[in-house]
Amino acid sequence: MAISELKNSNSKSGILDRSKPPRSGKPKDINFPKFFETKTANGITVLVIQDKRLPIVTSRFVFKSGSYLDHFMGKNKSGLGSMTSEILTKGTESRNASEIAEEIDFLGAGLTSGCNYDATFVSSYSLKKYFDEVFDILTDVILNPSFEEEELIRIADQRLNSLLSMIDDGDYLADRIFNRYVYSKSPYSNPLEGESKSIKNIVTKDLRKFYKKVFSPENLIVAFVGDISPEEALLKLENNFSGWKNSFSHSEEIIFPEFSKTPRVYLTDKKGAVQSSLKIGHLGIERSNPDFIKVSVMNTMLGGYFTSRINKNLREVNGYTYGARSVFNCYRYSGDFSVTTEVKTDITSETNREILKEINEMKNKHVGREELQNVKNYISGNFPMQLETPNDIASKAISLKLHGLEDDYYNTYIRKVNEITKEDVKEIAEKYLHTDRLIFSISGKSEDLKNEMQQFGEVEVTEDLF
Amino acid sequence: MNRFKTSSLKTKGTIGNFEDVIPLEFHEFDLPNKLHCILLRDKRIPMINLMIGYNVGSKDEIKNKKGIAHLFEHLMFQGSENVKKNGHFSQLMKLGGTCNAFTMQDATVYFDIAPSNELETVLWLESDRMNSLDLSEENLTNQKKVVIEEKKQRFENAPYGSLINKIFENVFENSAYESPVIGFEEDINSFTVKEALEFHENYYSPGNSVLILTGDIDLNQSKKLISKYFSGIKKSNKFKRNENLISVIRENKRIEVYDNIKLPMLCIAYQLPKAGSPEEYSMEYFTEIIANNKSSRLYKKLVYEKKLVRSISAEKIMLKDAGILFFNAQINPDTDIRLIEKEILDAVNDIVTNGCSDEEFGTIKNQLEFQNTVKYLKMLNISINTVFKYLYFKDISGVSNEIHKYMSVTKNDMMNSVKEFLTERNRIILTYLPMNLKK
Repeated sequence: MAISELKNSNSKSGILDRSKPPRSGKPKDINFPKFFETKTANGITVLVIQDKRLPIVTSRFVFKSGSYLDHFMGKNKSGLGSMTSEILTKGTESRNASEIAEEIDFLGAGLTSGCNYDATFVSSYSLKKYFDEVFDILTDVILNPSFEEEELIRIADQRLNSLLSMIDDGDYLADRIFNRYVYSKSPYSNPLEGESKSIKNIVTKDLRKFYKKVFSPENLIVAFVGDISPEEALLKLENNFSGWKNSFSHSEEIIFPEFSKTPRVYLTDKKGAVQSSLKIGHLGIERSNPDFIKVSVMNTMLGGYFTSRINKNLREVNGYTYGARSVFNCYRYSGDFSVTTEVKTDITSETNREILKEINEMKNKHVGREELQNVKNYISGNFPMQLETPNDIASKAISLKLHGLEDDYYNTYIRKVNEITKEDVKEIAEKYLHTDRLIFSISGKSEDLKNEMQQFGEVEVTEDLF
Repeated sequence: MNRFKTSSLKTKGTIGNFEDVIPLEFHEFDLPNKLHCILLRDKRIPMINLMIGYNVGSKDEIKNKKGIAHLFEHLMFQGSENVKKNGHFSQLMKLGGTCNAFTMQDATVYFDIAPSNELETVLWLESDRMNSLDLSEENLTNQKKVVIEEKKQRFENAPYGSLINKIFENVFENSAYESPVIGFEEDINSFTVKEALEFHENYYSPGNSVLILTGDIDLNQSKKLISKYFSGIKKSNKFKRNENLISVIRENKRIEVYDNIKLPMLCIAYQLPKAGSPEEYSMEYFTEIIANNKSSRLYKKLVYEKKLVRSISAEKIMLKDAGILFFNAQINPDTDIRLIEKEILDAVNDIVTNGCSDEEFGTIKNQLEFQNTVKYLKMLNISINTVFKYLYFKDISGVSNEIHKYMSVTKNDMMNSVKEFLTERNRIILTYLPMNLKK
């Protein structure tokens, strides 16, 4: 290639002055890609994100209720939603678990199912040439699950063993105990995956009950993604799902969690720990809260990206940790704010103090103009990366529907980010950060930490490990 | 309820009738200082991805300096002649970009992602730290602490955290691949500013690296800008290489590790030939047939039917000069670990002796066709694959035509590879046991 030309261009410029950063070019506009949307006669919301570059089709079935419901399905039923979604691919009226696995594997395809607090999903992906077969299997697991007793026992046994292994992990312990106390008596305090006593308490009748409540056309969003047109997609749905009658009733009970009245420390012992795993925070906001974007901007500055205040302090100035971050985790009815990090046992107190200092600073002082501008640029500049693949776009489109956000939400997103002022940031920090209501969940050497942690709040050592 | 019934189909799919994936149009050229550059235009979003791969990793480290290549990766963010500490991160982020880096046995790779109108700044940042390093004692000390916490978090505090390091230590005993990439605490603490600058001068030279630029770019303008920022960089190119890259496994080696865990783990690892050898492709069929799918032999028998293990997997790691294939099973509380060892070894022998069915083989072929189609959806995946192909083979044709290598493997190829490499002589058996069983 044109190496001689390159040589010339180099000699022409002489010695390069590297001392100043180059000027930016003109930024390109970015709009959220248009997608097809409709509703079927039996109430299914259909989205199609067509992209013909690769011969791949994904179909994503998202039911608008999740393991939040576990709490209302009887005493000790946490894990129910997640076990119901898992068992779907383990048998239908005409296929057993091995047959489903073999057929899907043979087509080089994937069939996955799962659940979070707000939604339950079943998805398939495959090359376009196998989509018909894959979609028929997907249809079968959604419409005709058999809920075999034997499969439920297998899933329960697997989970109990998994839990044994998960509680060896300090980060899991800190997270689990944090949720238990931050969300106190609300459904979000129960772990998605269940706990040993609830897993043993779930029977096939419970699975059927959960299925009946959640799996219904009016409660369903279907997104078709990739090499498929809206016409093809609608025909597929018509053929396989038009006979499915609605049985859904909008009646979700809500229990709102309450803030802790005072700061509290929960220690969980981890054998042989060489670090403390910290998760510190309190209740936050629900996803549809109108302050969501402002909260994101404030949090990014506090601990949401690499050059945030918390990471800079704990990692780059003090060398206490490999990394520290803060996050607002938002669900449909509630949410939490937390700072997480891992540090040597003997600097746990110093770390807590630095985190408190950064939270207070955010509440008490206006942020600098440049710091705010940098965060705005970071959030808006990175936005297109979240739209790179058709499935990225589908995830965003699904979340619009799932959380009832406005249709133009992602088109006005960057503008809204850029309108935020330093006064907004301070107001939001004052409104949503509360150093007097923090839960400090710490997993590590409890015995070594017990006494000195009293300076942060009343200390409780968790003994019963699920 | 009027329920839809699907016909009970029994696999209407075909085998191996794959469609050619559109080849990627790379543009390659060398600058006069020998920096090799690879460009790929992809305009789906207005972003660019710049990746610099340096041909240096932990295998180039000398005794008592283990962990230096990785620590050095951290130092590349501590400032250069015209960019202050963390300036690389902060300048990029305030333009809407992001960056990261990783260190392996054979390579150290840095990448920047940014809006495409910021191309020139990205090139300026990346070239400034290839050209010069501005490292203070204070910043070196700070990053030593960070790396030691990284070591604790990832390898010491995490359950089974030492697994991958134990595999390397034993499969490559007494060779350059033996030591962990993260290194040893004493060695990390002994690194000086002077040594760091020498390391930079010797290994971080244009002739020992490759530049990959993908995304929303104009080819001619990009070439001009790359030349503007990189062609003035001159380095000594005096790097040393370790000779002793591969060693032979001591026959049927067994290692026991006691950890703070509740479920035991069994790992059986074999040494494989290097990346790009036929085994890279033939063993992919083996690992999927035997362990990784829900329909695979060991999953079906040990996880599903007999409920003896919580999980089972078989993985390959392909390095520039050698490879590893390892089984990994997390064992349920009441299972005898020796029984699992026997089950795995019997399954290996069964494939050596009897091969597999056409349906099993076809299943994997269909899966590899899908995986090789989907893997280029993300720009970063393309860049990462390209950087390794170039650093390992100085040839990137494999990036677009790799699917052919997978599709042309035959059952016989797979059986021969298994027979030759998965032998008793060529394996180690590593068990993780709960601390309370320690005598």
